[in-house]
Amino acid sequence: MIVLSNLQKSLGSFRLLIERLEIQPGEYLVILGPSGAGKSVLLLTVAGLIRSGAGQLFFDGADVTSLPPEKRDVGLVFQEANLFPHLTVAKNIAFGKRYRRKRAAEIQERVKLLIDMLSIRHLLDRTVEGLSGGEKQRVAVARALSIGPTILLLDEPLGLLDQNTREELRKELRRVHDGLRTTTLHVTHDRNEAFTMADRIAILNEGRLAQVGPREEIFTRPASEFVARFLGVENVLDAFAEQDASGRTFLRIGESRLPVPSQYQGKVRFCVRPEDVSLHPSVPLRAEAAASLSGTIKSIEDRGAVLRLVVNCPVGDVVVLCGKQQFLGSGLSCSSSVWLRLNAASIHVLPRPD
Amino acid sequence: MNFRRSDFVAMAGLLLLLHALLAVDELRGLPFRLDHFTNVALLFTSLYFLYSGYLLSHRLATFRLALYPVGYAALLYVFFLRNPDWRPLFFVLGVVYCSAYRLQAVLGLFTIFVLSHIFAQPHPWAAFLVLGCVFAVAYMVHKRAYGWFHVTALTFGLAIFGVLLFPIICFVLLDSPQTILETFSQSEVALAMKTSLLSATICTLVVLVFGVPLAYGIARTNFRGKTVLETAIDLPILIPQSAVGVAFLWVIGAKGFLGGVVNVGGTLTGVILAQMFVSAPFLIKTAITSFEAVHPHLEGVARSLGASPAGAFWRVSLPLAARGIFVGCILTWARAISEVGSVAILAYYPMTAPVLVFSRSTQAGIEQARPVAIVLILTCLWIFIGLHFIRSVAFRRFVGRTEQI
Repeated sequence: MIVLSNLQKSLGSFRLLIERLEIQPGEYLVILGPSGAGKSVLLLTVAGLIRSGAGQLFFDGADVTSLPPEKRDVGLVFQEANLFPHLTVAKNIAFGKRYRRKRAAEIQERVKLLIDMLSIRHLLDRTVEGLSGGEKQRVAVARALSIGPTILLLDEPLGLLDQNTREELRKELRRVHDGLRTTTLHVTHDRNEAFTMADRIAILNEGRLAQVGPREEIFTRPASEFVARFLGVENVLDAFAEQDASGRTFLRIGESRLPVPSQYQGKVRFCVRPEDVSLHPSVPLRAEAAASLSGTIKSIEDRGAVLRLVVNCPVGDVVVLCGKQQFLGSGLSCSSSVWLRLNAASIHVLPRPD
Repeated sequence: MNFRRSDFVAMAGLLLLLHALLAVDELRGLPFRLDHFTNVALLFTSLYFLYSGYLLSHRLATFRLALYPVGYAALLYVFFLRNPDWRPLFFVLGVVYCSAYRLQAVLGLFTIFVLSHIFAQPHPWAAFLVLGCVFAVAYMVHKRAYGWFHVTALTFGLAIFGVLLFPIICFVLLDSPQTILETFSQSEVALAMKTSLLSATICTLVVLVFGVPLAYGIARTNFRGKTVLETAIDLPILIPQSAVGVAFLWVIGAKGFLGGVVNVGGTLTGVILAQMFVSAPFLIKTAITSFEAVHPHLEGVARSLGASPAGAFWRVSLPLAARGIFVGCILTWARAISEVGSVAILAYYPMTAPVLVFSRSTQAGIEQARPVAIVLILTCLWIFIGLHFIRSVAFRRFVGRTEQI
């Protein structure tokens, strides 16, 4: 298990502070955050390339805080593959073997396995120069894993690849991970990447962890407005929470009253994903667990397969994603009056900021 | 058409045989006789012609390749056989022709030069300068590669620069190889050349030993006063050479205040010290740039794979910066061998070649100094070219070594 405890690092006015982060053996943890959140600093600190200002770092119970990178056994892959341009692909992959004479045979076996898993056998004698972006990253991953690291650190490894290669490599990385179960720490700002690859996700913002949890939990129950907005939940709205005699909480949204679990009473904020809001030309049928809101369409944006509508409601502007065919068939246009329906199940009440 | 390596070797062998025959005095009935030095020079030029042709055969279409020996033969006829006075010029022209054959623009300029040399006597250089500029503008405008403003800027600068180089070119090209050989056989000249080559080489090696670590340290750290340090490294370029000589003499000369402890006045060590002072910045500067071009992440990856900081330096940074460092060595060597002022003041003897030129020109007159000067220029020039050739063959350029995908 990898444990970061009170790890701190200041760079200029930026300050990274990780109070506690545990990475289970064999886990694939993605650190997700906007640029400038300190993701790379965190990764380089774990690698030992940046010395932490304070705090401790444990690999399998051993304190490695003061160890140099070469004593830590970490695999490192950057956004630019950073292959050694003066060596062939085979020599790049074999680079770590030189420093592990006792384990040479084991590493040899491992390299063979990796070459097959990443299907790069045909590249071995090539120089680095002629490789495509995807090939470079495959080689970089093979090189990082060749030493059998305690932890594999990936710093936006797919950031510079084109869309198709990126998706292909996502699958491949995940497959390699499922095969070898190397503990992996993957840094990215791409939420799709995080959701397709991670076992658990840690959201980092301004040097602090905003939320850590399994990806389902992060997706459905963001811990703050920042997390919700960062994960693409565009609707963060005001409501009033109240409790009835039996202890059930209800949420008053406009004129509707919905049974929604909430730890808080009084004024609260809740979030709902645009794709969970449905659009109706006329008053929808009353339903026990759904709120209806009336409003007018403020703007329409064509996103290819779907339309992104902004509907002006009494509670504020609500973003709705709506199928193109469905919308065109309904005869609605900009500034039409519409009804929105919000299901209780898709509503998540946000914790109050302290 | 593709020549194989064996074809090249066979032709080179034939050429060697031919020149060996030319060197045999007893053989009669040959169309012309050559002295040994010219013979050897011609052999090397022709070997270079063959080697370039071998490389070109992989790149050019058959028709253009077929024209390659035709041009060389024409040069050989006009500049070597018909006008023996122009022979020194031939060796340079031959090499330029072989190197530039692939590049249309340079080949065009080359043709203009040859034509103006044949038809525009007695002022071939002036004719070339004017016609060459016109050609350059016309060519680039025709190719529409660049706008007229950039082309004019380039041509204007080049024309003035050509005037600057003019004396050197004339000076070197108007003496036959035989005179050069005779000059070299004077023991005074040979000794001075030996001193020069030896001191410049030792100087470069010493600068290499301390310059590379210094440059690496500067490239990899960031501290207060780093700018001051970098400016200090530039300082020797700024200070007048005579002042350098006096300063050294005053400190570690025979009557200097450390003279009792160290005295380098009039020794080879003195020569080397003076040369080091003026030439070290060139190597250090280029090495800093080369190390800065190696992305720190490359070292980071090496470290993560198990290399110590020193290991990452030897196995990653140094090989990647080697080409730049070698270029720095060439520059340092060139600067060291060309130093006069400080060397003459600190250590007049053992006399280096530039000091010999200086002393002859002031004491015995220009005519005595000229052959030595030519020998010096030619030796340095060919070593310079040779070193750059080694650089292009032995050191790979790593395209985008801070490589992006």
